[in-house]
Amino acid sequence: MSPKARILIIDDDLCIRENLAMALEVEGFCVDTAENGKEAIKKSFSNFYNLAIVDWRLPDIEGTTLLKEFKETMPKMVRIMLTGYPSMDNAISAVNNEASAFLVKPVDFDYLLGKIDELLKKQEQAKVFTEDLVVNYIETRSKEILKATPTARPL
Amino acid sequence: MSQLITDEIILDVIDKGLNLLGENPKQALWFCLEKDFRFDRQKVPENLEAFEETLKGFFGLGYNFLEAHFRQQLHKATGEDLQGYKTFADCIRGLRKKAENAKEQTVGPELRLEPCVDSNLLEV
Repeated sequence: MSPKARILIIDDDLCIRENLAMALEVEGFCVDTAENGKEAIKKSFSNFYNLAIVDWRLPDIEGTTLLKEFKETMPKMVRIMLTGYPSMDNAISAVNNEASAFLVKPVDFDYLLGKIDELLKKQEQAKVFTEDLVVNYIETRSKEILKATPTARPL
Repeated sequence: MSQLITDEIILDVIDKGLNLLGENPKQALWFCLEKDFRFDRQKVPENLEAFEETLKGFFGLGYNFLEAHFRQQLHKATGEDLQGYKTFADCIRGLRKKAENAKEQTVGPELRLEPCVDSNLLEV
């Protein structure tokens, strides 16, 4: 588990928002909340989040539209979709908008926690993989530059 | 008042700025800069233009992200407004000049002792 991972919960239901936030904070996560899409987008611009839990129906925006927005602003963020209206259409739409998981309310907290743990581990692995790619790039680029200008400037 | 931009501050700002790449890429970059490009890390503050050019060679337009991060860290460290400067090296140059001017205004110009020679005595 990533104890210091930052999680954003977006739900218009105050009860769900607060209970979920409290339970996740007890598990060691750093939790922030938003009650609508507008507030969530604003927060995603100014803060970094590892994971977002998005309610399907928000007062100002569809959850799937918010997923699209997050894909633009924070492409690496894990996105979990929550819905009280499970249907095949909703599930397909969530998959098409690249939700990392699709869960039905009322959520079993242990299951949610397991899912969060699993997805954050994958995110960490992806980060390590990306860093390895950057290291490879730097080493290759260094050789390329030296080949093009063999007399590197000594300082 | 403008504070003096020491080499330690500059190195710290650069180091924090390079964190954007991640720890391993940052170490790999320093390794290449020191080994292949013969950069002495401690002397980077004196050679910021060359340092910037080399990073541009590595990352191309991607260097703009790093530069923005350097500026952000410099702003955090000094609290100075960095708008209007073209490059990170310009920022440092500008802030150093500002600090020097501020120092001069506080202390006043150095007193210069001119030799006092009486021209009449010379004629005699």
